[in-house]
Amino acid sequence: MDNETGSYISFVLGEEYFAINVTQVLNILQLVQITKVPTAPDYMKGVINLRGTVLPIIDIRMKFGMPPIEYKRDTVILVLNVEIDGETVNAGILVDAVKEVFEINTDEILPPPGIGSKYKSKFIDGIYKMNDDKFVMLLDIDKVFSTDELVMMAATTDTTEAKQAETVE
Amino acid sequence: MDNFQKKFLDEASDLVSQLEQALLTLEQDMDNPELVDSIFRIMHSLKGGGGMFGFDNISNYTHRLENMYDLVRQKKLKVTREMLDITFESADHITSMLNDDGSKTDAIKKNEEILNKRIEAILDGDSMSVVVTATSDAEDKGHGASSYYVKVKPYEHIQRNGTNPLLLIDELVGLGKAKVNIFYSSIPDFEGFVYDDTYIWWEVILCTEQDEDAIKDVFIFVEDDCEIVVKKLADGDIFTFQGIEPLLQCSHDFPFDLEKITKLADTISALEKAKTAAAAQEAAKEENKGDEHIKKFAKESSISGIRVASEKIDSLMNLVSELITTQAGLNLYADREKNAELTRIAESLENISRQLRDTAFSITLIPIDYLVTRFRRLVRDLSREVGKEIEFEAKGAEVELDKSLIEGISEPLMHILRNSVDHGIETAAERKAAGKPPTGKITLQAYYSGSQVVIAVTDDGQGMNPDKIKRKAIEKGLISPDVQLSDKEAVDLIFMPGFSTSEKVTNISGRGVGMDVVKRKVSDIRGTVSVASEPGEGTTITISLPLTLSIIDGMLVRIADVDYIIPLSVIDTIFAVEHEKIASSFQNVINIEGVQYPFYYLRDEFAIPGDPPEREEIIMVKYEDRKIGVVVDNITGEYQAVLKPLGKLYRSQDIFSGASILGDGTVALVLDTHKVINKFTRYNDI
Repeated sequence: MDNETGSYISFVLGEEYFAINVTQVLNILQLVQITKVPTAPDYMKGVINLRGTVLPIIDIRMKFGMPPIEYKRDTVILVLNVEIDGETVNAGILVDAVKEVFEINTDEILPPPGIGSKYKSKFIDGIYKMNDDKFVMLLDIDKVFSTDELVMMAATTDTTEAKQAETVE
Repeated sequence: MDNFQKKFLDEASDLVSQLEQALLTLEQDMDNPELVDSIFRIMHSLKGGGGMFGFDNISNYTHRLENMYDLVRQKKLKVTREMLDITFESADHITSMLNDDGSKTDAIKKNEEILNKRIEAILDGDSMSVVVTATSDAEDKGHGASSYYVKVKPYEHIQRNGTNPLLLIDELVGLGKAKVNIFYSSIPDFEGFVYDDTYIWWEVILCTEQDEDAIKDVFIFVEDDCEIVVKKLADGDIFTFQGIEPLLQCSHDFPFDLEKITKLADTISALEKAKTAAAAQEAAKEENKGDEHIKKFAKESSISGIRVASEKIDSLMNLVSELITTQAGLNLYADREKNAELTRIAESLENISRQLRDTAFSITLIPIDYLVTRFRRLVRDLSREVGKEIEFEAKGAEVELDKSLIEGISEPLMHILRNSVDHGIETAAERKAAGKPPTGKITLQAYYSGSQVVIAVTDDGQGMNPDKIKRKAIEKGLISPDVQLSDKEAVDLIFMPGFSTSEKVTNISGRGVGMDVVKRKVSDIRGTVSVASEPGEGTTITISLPLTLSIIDGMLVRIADVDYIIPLSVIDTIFAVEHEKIASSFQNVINIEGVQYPFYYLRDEFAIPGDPPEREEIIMVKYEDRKIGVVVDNITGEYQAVLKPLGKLYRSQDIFSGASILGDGTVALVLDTHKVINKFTRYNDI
């Protein structure tokens, strides 16, 4: 592995830490009123007005098989630039809190966990150990958006919301 | 490829389509000298431009064609069908030369050889063409010499385009006898002098046997770079007029005294004219014509349009859309503040934004005429290919459509026309047997209908046989054999995917795509297609389109805490009803003022939780030929909605044609009621 560096932005979903490469993050927004789009799956929270364009908002927690997001003081929208079927699309994800931007050497990234992991490894680029010994999962966000699958391993899914999200599609 | 060459390519393809249009008109009226002239001029521009920008192949080729039309102009040749065919093919040939990236050069060369031989055959006079025996010298003499005044005043920048105005003057003088007056006075002091600016201008008195057009042709490529005035002074050689000499003395910076010259020329001409009254009349007409020409020329150079890159128009439209949204925000704020001054400003600003919006929209509109030339050509070529006689007529070609709609409608219409030529119109023999005129007719008619544009393609062919269509659909397993269908429903089956009635696949329309593709393409641009057909009489396919894609007049409504917009164009009536009445209705049918209406309760269909208000609004929307209600909580009012796409992630939610941003910055969803009704229809409901 070569010794390149990359900048990531970390955020919290429930109890866990995830990170996305900053090149895919356009913006961090305070929570605004979301217009729900009827008949859409539950994890698709609706749309907001982002400087004159319509931005879809995803509850990424439900996508990960966690209970739906609760709006709190720290809840923010991360505006991302994702590639779906070869097309670049802007979308916002709701996260419980944004933590920090940090720089890492690519050779410090650990391979995604195989068997026994909570999340499907195809959605995880790798794992990084932070200074405070916390592990951060580096997400392949394009893959997360390109599928209707849940990110969490099916076997560990026990929340009804997750099942709902699965069946809606 | 440099910028100039690109520009030439753009211009050349425009010229080729102009050429096609002129040819199609000429085909109807083969003896019209004006049309021949305009064809000649188009080729001349192609030739000149080609030579100038290094497209020598185009220049050489058009030169030969031009020769052919020059003979026609000189009345040494008559326009023949073969000649038109060659020119049509030449238009294609030129297009392929323009688009050639080097890969097809050989094929193009071969084609050119063939075309050249055919042109030569015409020029030699041994094809079918009729050569009019060398036209009377008398006529040439009758044409005679005329005298003109020409003013050439180049704009400062002319030399920067690589044009040397002196060469133009040389060319002009080369047309006959001339006196040239030069104006130096605007040359600035040394400090202000820019080496490549042009400060000099000229006046020329010219006596030539060429006509006015030939004089203008000298300036054909610099029309936009200088002021050109061409004025006919008199018939005959003005230099021989008695007493004219002092008036034609050239003295720098003193213009010719045109008034005196014209007066003198007129007197002299008048004297001559007096000899024969008839001649006088003729001359007066000439004079008039000259004036008209100048007027027309001046008019053309002042109001003719400009070419703008379509991205610029798109960005203008985006800005206008944002302005409309911001305006709505301002109005909302002004309403709340109750400040008279603020309200006044908001209102007058709104007035301006509305006008700006309308103007910007009118810029994006293109007349359907833009497509018609292509269609005329298509029908002409296809009908020859299948050996049918077909006349194509376009009505209402001045109807304008948004440019994105024009782009979207072109392919479906082409497909419909193909079908008409291939399946609709019968062969001449069949038509005779059916007692119809041997020449079939396809009519394209466009007109406005409310906020819609309707385009109907009608043929007088064999029509569609509902039974045959039904059989075919059963055969293909599209419907089950025991379904009862009315004739109209049967004919509508042609829009089903996988349906194609053609018994044999031809290379014209039987390409595996059918009317279902037409229907899908049209609905992509929020349009609808319908078909009406009478066996033996013909078929009409009608496309209805919204006037524009990006802004709609809508009704803003609310359900729970979400705003929705329903296009005004689909709304028929609105009633307020008690929730009780809706809740107690049976099978989603409600009785209002004695009429039974089916309805959809959107709160339920959208699975919106919470308690409905006591009084709700039921909006009757038009659905095909019925009225169907949709129930919402309440109505906010009319709203101009700037339509924004919902995006790829919501592509499955096609009951919404988009979203719009309201004045307070929140998002409202635009309902496509047609799709809403389709989606929630359970059988027996309607």
